[in-house]
Amino acid sequence: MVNNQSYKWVRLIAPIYLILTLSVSGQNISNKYSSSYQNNGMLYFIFPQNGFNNNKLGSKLDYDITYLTTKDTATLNFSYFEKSNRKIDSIGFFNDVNNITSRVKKIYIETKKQKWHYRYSTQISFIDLNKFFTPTDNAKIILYTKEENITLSIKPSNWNKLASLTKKILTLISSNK
Amino acid sequence: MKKVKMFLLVAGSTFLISSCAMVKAPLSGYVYTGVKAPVTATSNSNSSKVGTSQATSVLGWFAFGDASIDAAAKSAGISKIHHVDEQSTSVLGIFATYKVLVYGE
Repeated sequence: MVNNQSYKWVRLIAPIYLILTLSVSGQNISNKYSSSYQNNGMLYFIFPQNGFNNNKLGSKLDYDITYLTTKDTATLNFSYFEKSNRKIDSIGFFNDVNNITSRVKKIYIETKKQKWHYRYSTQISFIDLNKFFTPTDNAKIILYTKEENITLSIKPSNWNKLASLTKKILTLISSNK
Repeated sequence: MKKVKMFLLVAGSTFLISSCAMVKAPLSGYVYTGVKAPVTATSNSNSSKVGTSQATSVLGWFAFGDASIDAAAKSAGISKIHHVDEQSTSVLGIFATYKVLVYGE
């Protein structure tokens, strides 16, 4: 009787567990990007990613990536949240092997609660983007402003997951070029 | 006493079920929802930019965010909209997100 009841519960819980595991799985990339067919190629969009922050300033950075397969460069739009008012000139992407620096273009600046919300855009070559999203221990993003350079870092374990996932999407895009 | 317990049980269950984090979607699953669907399309040709906006619900008790088309278009500097899609996700009615994707130039 007890065994039958236990079996019943296992049968009930197992499919739910399976669905949750599949949906939350780290390497399931299907819900991390979207693609749209255009006259001049396939337009890919990698949904906003986060994890980069500066604990000293209490600031954080989110970004998303748009790429049209017929172009050499991808557009990286980012949001930076900080209490201070700044003017960002350029952005740098660093890991153990590669350093990529690019000028930024302002989309808008707003205030959100007590922080400033800076929304900027930059262009990065698709090859450089591939180089940056490599699992390493020292990935960081640097924002260059007139006052100072702001370094945003990410936990290595988070970066390894994020870089692997993004690399997989970029590989998929390369395969469809 | 038994009737009071029964009443509390029914009232509690109703409260819990009705308070689940539901999300707007053409199809929804009670255990898991992960649906992408169209919102609108215009006669403008081609897209080179994509913007997104999002709202979140937790337990059906808290809901926050700006999932407007305007917020999504603004996030990518889009002034001519080509089409708009939505993406709804919900897990066990505990956590739900609603994303709007705007394509345009």
